[in-house]
Formats: sequence, structure tokens, C-alpha cells
Amino acid sequence: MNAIAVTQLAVPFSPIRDVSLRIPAHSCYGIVGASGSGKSALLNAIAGLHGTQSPLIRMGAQSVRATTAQIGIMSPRIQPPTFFTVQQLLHSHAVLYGLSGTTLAAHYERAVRWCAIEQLAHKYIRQLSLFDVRRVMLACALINRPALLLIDEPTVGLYAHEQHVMIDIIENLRDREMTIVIATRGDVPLESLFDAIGVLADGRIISELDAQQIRTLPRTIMIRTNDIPTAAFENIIALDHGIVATRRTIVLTGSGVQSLAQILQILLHYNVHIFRIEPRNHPLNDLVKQSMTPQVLAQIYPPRNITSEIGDEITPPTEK
Amino acid sequence: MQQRLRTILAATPTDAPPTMPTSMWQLVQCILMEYMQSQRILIEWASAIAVAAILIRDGTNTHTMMATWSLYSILAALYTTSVLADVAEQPFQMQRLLAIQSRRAYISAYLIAANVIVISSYIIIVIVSFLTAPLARPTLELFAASLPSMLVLISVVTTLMLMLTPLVANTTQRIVVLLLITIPLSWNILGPAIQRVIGTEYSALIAACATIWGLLLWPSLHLYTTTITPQIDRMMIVVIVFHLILLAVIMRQIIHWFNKKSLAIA
Repeated sequence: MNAIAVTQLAVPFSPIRDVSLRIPAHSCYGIVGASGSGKSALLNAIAGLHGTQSPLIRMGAQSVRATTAQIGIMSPRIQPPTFFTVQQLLHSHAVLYGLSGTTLAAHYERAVRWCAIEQLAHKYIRQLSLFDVRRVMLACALINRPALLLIDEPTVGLYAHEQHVMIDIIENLRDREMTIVIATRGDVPLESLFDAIGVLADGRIISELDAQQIRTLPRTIMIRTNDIPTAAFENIIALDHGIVATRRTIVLTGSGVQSLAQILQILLHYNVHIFRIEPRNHPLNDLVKQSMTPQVLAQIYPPRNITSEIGDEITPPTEK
Repeated sequence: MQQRLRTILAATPTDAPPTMPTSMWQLVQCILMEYMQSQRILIEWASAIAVAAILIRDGTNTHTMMATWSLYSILAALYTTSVLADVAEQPFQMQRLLAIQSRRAYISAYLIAANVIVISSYIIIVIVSFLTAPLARPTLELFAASLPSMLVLISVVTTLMLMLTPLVANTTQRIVVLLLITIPLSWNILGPAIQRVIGTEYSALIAACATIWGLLLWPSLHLYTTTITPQIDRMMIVVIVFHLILLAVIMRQIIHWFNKKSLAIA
């Protein structure tokens, strides 16, 4: 069953001109697009914040405006009041949903646990780091156990290890019978989360990729090092035919990517200094770049025909 | 291990379905709590105390005191509405909009909160004035008679000011509302100025406009007068009823505009 059905949506004062998409229930959908392509505007519209356009967006069988209480939204631009403690903030937010007493305590406890912010409960918002604030805002969005969770750029501005924790948190949410929509520019490897991706460009979804297509996207990893000893060099190129190496650069393509851990072990064993690892041609980055030329991308990944009516049974997303 | 697992499971709340949103009164409470906790309220309350302690101190004229209260309330309504409209547009507040039953409830909650804040300031200025200018204090009957007009005046001004904020109206709508308010009020200056530009042959038109504006403004000016020199009579009731109807019309328009307005959370 579709959680969200958007039909020919146009949002005034935004790049969104003609967006149609269907997001199956309990799936994780990625909206990928370049900066300024209208990802945030689309999330706002799905949240029902775009006035008269909202009837074009349906959640289940209802207009999204009738179901806003079942929607949670998290965006890096949402800054909570700094004079609250985390507990006060979440409690005041929960009260708005009619939660009180033991129910409120249960919802609070769950949101805090899901976002791993138990230790922050009594800290003031102004004392928190960006990453902590991001998790607190996610907890706010989750306080009512929403059926639909909209997340805008969850990892932007975070350090690498924080990005991984954030992805882990969202991955954990995927298993909670929640439909998740994530808007991203494709800066980080969020693609492991997605059951499908819609590429937003030119004011519309120009192509859609399912989970299988996402996994088979070409990818390349480049490792730049100082001089690699001959023995290490021979060991590395023997690992896989997808590995191309010079004395200072190792390029992993196709199946060669799976040998990354072994290569790193070999390099460490031979005391080779690794300058940097570049996820060039990262799948999401690829999509963003190609979305600049929508026609090319549409030829490679044609959009899926949207013919099903709201409420139609759709094959559930593949378990990960 | 089993025991620990059982403890965790017991502590894990069931995946309850999404609950229904609560009424706008919860949001009103939330807004007021935030307004106080962020110490924004100090501006209104401190200014009320300052006006009573500086402008009204040792006064002996009751009507001057009541006129100061009315003018102060209008200014407080103007300030509070602009601050609250700004707060209501913050992305964090937009997130709260999702929790509320409807946009109507959301905007109404902010309007009620603005009224409560202005009324609280009015109460403070009255109490402090009673202490600083005991000779000018009105009798209880006089004060009670001015209250209905005062409350209606505060509500109308607050609602009208909200109409001027970007929270509900776009630029064109706000300019139109602003002109509708300012042109009649400043016609005494504008009328002669326009006449000088266009010549005397249109003096009849200018005079007609002055009459129309006068007719339109009269009920509001009368309402303001009744807050200073209250007299409970049929005319006062008519004026109050007229303003309550006006209030309903403005509210309806605000809700209509706010429903159509695109809001950005991100």
C-alpha cells in the first residue's frame, strides 16, 4: 500500500513544477538532487505546509493536511529554543500531541532511546553540539511515533563518524514500520538506506531507481598513498581483476571495491602511508551530477510509470 | 542475560499508533511558557511598569490616566503581535504546526496568546498606576465600565496587527491593509496635500472622501473614547457589537490567507 502519493505537484516560489511519485508504506525513499533543485520544498509540501497544494498529496486514502499529526519532520534548519533542556523540549512537544502521564513518559523514553540521547536529557539545548541538536530534533520528530518521517539532509555538516552514527539511527528506524523519506544531495553514503531513489531535477522526478539498481550502480574508490613496496603491490593487484594500481595510487572498480578491507590491511602491514581515500564517482554524487542533464539520466534510468491507484498493493521493499 | 532482556522488553513501550493531536489550548500554553521562559515578556511588563511609574506618577486626572492605559495597550499589542508572528514563523514552530489539528487552530493559538500577553501588561499598568498615582485612580464602577471596551479594543488591534505581519499575508496584501488603515487616519493631512496637487476643482471629491473615512472611523474612535470616558449605554453596546463582527470578519480573512500561504520549514 502506498504511504504517500503525490500527483502533479507544483509549488509556487520553488523549483517544483510537476512532481508525481508513489512511496510504498514502510519503505525508505531517497529524494536526490542538486542544491536548489527543490528537495526541501518537496518535503515541506509532503508535510502539508504548502497550503492549497496539499490536496495533491495523499497519505493513504486521506489528504495529507488531514494527517499531519502522523508526520514527523527533521531538518538541519530547525533550531530548537536554546533555553529548554532536552527533556523539557521533548515533553512540551509531546504535550501538543495530547500525550500525558505514563503514555508521555513511554513515548519520551522511546524517542530518546531511538535517537541515543539518554545522556543529554538534562542538558540545555545551547550546551549541545550540532550533532546532538540534530539527534534531539529527530527525537522531536519521533515523539509521536509518526507513520511518515521526513528527513532533510540528515548528515550535512556532521563529522564522518557522526554521519555514520546518524545513518545507524535512521537504519534502526527503518525496521520500525515507519515510512521514511530522506532528501539528500548525495554527499554521503546514504544509499544503503534507500529502497528507492527519485532523482529531482528540472522541477520533477526525472528518474527513479529501485533497490537493485542502487546496488548495481558503478562505483570507484581511489586510494592515494606514498610509494607502495613491490611485494605489497603484487599482493594487491592479485586480489581482484577490478583493482588497478600504480606505485602511488590504487583504484578499485566493480567487484574490486569488496577488497578494500584487505588492501588496507596489506598497506598497513607494509607501513604504507595512506594520504586519502576518495569515493569518487560515488553513486549518489553520480546521480546528482547527471541530474544536471536530466535527458541523459532519463535515458539511462527511465522513470517508472505511475499507474497504480492509491491503496494498491505494491510489492514490499526487499528486507536488508 | 534473560533477566536483562526481560527488563528491557518491559521498559519498552508498545508501538502505539499515532495519537490524535490535542486542542489549540495546549499550544497556547506552550507559547506563553516559551514567551516567559525566553524572557521576552519582560519587555511588555517592564514597559508597563515604566509607563505607570514615569508617565502616570503623581497624576491627578483620571481620564488622562485611562487614556495612557489605552494608548499603552495599543502599542503593546503592536509590539507583541510582531514578535509572536516572528516566533510563529520559525521552522521549529512550523514543526509544531504538524502537531496541531489545523492551521486555523495554529493561528488562533498565536492570536489568543498575543491577547493574553497584552492583557497581562494592561493589568500590570493598572495595578502599578493605582500605586503611583492614587489621586487619579478611577472609581471601581468607572473602571469596570471601561473594561468591555478595553478588551474589545485590544482584541481588534491585536488581530489587525497580525494581519500586517508576513506570517499570514503576502507583501501586496499587507500593503493594502496598511493603506486601508493609514489613509483614513491621516486624511486630515493627505486630503489637503492631494488637493494642492490636483487643484481645487476636485475639492468635493476630497470632502466626500473625508466624510466616508469619517463614517468608517467613527465606530473605532468611539470605542477608543469609551475606554477613556466609559458610559454604558445603547451606543456603547452597538459599537462593541460592531467591533465583534469586525473581529470575526478579520479573523476569517486571516485564516483564509494563512491557509493559502506557503510555509517553509526547511
